[in-house]
Amino acid sequence: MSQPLLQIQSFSVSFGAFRVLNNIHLTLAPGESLALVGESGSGKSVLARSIIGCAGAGARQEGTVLFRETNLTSASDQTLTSLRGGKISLMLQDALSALNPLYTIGRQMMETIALKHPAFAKGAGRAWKGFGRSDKPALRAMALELLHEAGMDRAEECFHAFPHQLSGGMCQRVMLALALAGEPDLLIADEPTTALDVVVQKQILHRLTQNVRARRAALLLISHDLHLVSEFTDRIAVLYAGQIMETGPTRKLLANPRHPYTRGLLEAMPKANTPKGSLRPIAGEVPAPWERDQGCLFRGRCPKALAGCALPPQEYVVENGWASFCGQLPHTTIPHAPSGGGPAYALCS
Amino acid sequence: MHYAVSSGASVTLPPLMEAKDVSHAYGSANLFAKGHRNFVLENISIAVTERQTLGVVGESGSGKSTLSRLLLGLETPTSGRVLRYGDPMPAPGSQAWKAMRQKMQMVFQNPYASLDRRMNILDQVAEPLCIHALATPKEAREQARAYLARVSFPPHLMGYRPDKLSGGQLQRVVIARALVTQPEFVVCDEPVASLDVSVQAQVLELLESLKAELGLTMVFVSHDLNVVSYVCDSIAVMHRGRIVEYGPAKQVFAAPLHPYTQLLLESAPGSGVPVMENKEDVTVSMGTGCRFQARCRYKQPACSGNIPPALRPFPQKRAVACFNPLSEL
Repeated sequence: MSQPLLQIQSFSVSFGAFRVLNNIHLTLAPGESLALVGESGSGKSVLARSIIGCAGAGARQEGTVLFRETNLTSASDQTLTSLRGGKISLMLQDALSALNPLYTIGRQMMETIALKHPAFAKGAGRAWKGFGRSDKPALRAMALELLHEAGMDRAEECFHAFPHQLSGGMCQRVMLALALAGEPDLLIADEPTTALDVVVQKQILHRLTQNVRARRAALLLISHDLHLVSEFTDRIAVLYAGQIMETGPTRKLLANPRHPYTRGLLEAMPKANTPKGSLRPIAGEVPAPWERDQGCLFRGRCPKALAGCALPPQEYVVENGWASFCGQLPHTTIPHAPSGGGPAYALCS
Repeated sequence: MHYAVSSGASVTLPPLMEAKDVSHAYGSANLFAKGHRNFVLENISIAVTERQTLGVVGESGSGKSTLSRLLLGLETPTSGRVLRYGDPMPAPGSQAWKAMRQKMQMVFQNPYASLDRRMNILDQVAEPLCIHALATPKEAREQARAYLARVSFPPHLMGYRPDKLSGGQLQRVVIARALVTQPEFVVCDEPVASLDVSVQAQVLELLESLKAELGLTMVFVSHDLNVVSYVCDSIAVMHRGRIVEYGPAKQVFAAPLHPYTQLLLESAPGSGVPVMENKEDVTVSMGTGCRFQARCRYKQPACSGNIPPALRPFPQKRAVACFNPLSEL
């Protein structure tokens, strides 16, 4: 494997007395796509925002986040500002509130390109001083090209439109174009399509992954939908209550998950052909931040929990690149071992 | 255009809820174009049979929520009729309408927004009984307690206010509140959209068991096709204010007739079907043929004619509004 692009090591984030992320280890190589999956409150958005130093003023970070050679946890504001929207860009869920309602799409695109695109940006972290008259035609051409790339049919019309005149799907395409404006090496997409309907969702994710792959950039896709990430990512990390439960190659892992939580999630999700009454909900609820300790946080809902689960969960290597953090795994035979080697869960055809 | 969903036996009772050629328009928000009306539903005919769950799917703006509001009698259609057991709905606000309201309830999408944050859980569930004068406050609390127990709501949390509870617990409260007046007809508008996967399954199983136990008739509005196919007996696919396909859930999902249904199924996460790059949906003005034509991969000249395709019956209690349904290709 080549030199990793992003290395997150023993990373924890606390807000006040509450630790919302606990001892996270993740690596991301160039050209790779990693899915970060978890329920609400699992800390996936906090992790995404911590990478670019936007987790909020009250966040206390421990550990390291290395982007190439830069340690982002101790980087200066100036370094972070030049990275944000440039080498690392973040695409958010709610496009309508992420865009400025008072400016046209075109103006917002041109502003971002002028500040962040390698061909235009002059000096890191420079404050915005408005467009130079001579730059405008080039900026405009670049903006239209990016909009096309993001799958916008009528880029010209969209260029002159205000955000409220576009549909949710179109706004999200603009967000994608904006995220690509800085030619990022790492694109973090935080639930980029949750508010959209399924048809548009698939089109946008397709565009996004295609683009990232073509430029050999890395993608961190945050989602709560296992079906969705199984189609669009190479690797997956399952997050629960701020702990990583399991991480490995997406399709392999989802076909034969080792961690009881990942299995529970798959059994709780209906598919098109799930017969009635066969859903198995996970009992209980996600523990609140003040109910969390050092042990496995899933043990309160886990069907296989034993007394040993109160200890911090140890890494159990299933195979190279696939690790599961369940204290019971070393002592048990492979749960749900499929007879004949087929997948226990046919998630994707 | 007229299409009866119930089978043709002469002795069948009229369905619990039925919409006949219903169209609904909202007035324009523009002060200077007051006469202009936006039709959000056009010529909808559908019936909900007793003890069945009807799923309504479609993209945002397709009229799913308006249809459920009409079926609940919360609004009067601009044209067409909504019938309950074959009788027209009473006028909103009338005595008969109020009596009917207790027999039909709604479960809303966002439990955080549909509960009163200044009232404790038990009182909120008891309130409908007091409003409909079905019980004294003391009895109402007793019944509310029983219904909360039925949805497996922890008893020690009943005196709490909503801000102390999680989304899954709140959605249970909303369901208990909808069921406490013993309705026969319940509309669930995206009941699990705001819940986590692990909790979503709990709520789906709960709805399923309550439906069997209490003999409920349900309309289940959702954009999640997997959830709809799991919960529903029959399905209506809506697109731009029209029903484009109707039929038993199993058949519709196994072999869709309308190209839009096919597109929806292919786009469902985990379908494994590669993306069909589709054009952005262009607004087709009213009355110019099929509204799906701009995105349809089987488009033919007839599709852009003046007449929109009518919903016509198909074998196996199915119906489709398409000039060239997929089975005939």
